[in-house]
Amino acid sequence: MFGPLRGIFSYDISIDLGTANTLIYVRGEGIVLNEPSVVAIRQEMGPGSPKRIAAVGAEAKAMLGRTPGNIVAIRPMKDGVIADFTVTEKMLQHFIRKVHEDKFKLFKPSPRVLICVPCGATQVERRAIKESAAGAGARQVFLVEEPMAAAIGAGLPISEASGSMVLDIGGGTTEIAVISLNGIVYSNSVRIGGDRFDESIISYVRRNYGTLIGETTAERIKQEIGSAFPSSEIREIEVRGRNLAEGIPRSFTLNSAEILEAIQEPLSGIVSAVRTALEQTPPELGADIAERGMVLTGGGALLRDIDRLLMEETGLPVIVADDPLTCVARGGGRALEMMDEHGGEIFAME
Amino acid sequence: MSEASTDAGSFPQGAGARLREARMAKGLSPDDIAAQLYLRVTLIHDIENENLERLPPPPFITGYLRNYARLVGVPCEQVVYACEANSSGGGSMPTLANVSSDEEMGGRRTPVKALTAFIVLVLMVLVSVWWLGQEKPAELTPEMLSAQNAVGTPPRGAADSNTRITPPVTPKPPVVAPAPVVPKPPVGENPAGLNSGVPGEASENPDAPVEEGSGAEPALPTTEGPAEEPPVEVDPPTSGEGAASAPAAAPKPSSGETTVVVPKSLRAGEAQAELRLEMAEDCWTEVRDDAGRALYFNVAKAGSRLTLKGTAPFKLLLGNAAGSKVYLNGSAFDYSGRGVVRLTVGKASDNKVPQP
Repeated sequence: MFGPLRGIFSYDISIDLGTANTLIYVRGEGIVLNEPSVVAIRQEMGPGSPKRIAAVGAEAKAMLGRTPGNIVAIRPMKDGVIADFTVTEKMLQHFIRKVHEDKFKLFKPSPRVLICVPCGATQVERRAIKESAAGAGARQVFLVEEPMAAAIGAGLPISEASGSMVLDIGGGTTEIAVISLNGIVYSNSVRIGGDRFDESIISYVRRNYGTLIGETTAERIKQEIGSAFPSSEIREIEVRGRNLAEGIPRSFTLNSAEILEAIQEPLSGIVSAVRTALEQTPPELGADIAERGMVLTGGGALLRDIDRLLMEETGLPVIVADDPLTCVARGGGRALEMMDEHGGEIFAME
Repeated sequence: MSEASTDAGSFPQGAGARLREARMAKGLSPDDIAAQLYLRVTLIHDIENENLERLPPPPFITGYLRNYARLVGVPCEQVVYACEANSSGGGSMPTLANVSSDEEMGGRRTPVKALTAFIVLVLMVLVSVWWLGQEKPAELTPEMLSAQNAVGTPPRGAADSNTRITPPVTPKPPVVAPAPVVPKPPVGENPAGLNSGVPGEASENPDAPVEEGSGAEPALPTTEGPAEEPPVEVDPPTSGEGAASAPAAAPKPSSGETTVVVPKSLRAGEAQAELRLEMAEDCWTEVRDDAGRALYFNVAKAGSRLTLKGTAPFKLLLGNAAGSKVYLNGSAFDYSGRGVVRLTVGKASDNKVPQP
């Protein structure tokens, strides 16, 4: 009933509800929140007792793998979609409240929210995301497909009659799309992303070193020495893990060539998806893409030499967008503005 | 941006020329670069010559510059910034889509938001005040009524049917009226008076007694002009429309006083019935004619007499029925009851007028 009134005291926000990180873009403000999509839940009185949110975001991520028995740190998003509805709702509620901390506090925030969803998400998954945001206090919820938001955020000329190819490598999924005239001509989503790289590194280390490392360590290895293409420069990192044979922590050194070997499988999956997309693209748009190249966005675009790998594999120019991590959230925010300026029909939204 | 301008200063010859120098230093040809970046050779020349208008949109230019710079070992961001700085000076390069900058996205508008919030707050307060001001008193106490009577104004909302007015019902000891003026009986062929709600009589007896104390006067023929206007001792107040049914604001009767009220609208000879009230005790009195006009709306003091003229039937509300008597066209109207009584006097079905 008081939605419109509460809306005066709320922002219009765009949320990139990612598997690894959640980013919130506030209209007129920019990116105001970039936190891991992790929630720590405390259960005080043992099994069956009520659960409480212990921490959300970076604080909760620091707890991953380090929690006592009564606290569980979980990631409510998996493969780009909701794995735990209630926890996702609580997490969104927390983030929305955090974004509105400097706003008038008489009313509970009731923003208009645009959420970016993987193009491969099913109707059930989309509805779950929509209801989760509504449950978190959103006054209106719009959904836009991630590749479209990524293309807008990267500044691609999506309204022109020429093809633009965008490859958004996220934490849980990789989205590929060919866009022309404000519409998606081709899109595909593969459930390969940064998490799969981490899992590959964990299994490589266990297989070759007989040592167990955690997700956080695997992510650190990927960020520091991970590479997608062979290079003359070899980087090394010293890590610690539990030796499976001895059962005690041991330290050892990994190099970038080993990590390249470890992540070959998910990289091949991404390359295959790109090839398939190029095969499926209409020839005129394919020519435009061959002329200009494809654009990489998402956290996966920060993996060293991934553009070089795609260039060599496809023979096309490949460029990494400015600030690829925030492209989707920024694009979503820009989509909200475009929707207000030109109406909701400018591109397909739900 | 200051960093950008500093970096631009490190490439005084321009980003394209810097890239060309670095390429030549590495012994590479434009063809080598084009082959490694999977770009056309003409694009490489355009980049080196900074013919940016011939290049694809800005995000692609930025990407090409980065890739080129990385290939020849020049700091990528410096090249990009230098190119941006040169293009903004020359105006040849389209603005790069840096949507994260405050300038592009509107920046913070805290003062505007604060002002908006303040205005909304003020509006809310005003609406609240107005809302509270709209609320009516649930009941009027006798003290309030007497205070209103003292200034001669009818109680607020008298015409508002939603307002419930509690008349003063507490009987007071009867006040001995000093020589009340006894009305003379109506003179005429028809002692029953004017149209007392009895069909047929009015047309047969157009003459009717008008009022007590002033002697018998000819009745008002319904079609006569102002010359035959009934005498009026007390004019009903005409102070504004707020008095809804102006006759309601009758002058405050004092003990023993005779008051005659004729609605203005009836002066043209419409008066058809006479209602007389004699008060032995103070009594809240409300009289309405057939049209719903309030003929009297006040506390009638003990010993006072009211003569009201209007169209029958009359609707009466007497707060102290035991202390008052009602006469219709000179005949006593029989009713029973104490305290608050509602009466309809002069109804067609109520024709059996009791004898005085």
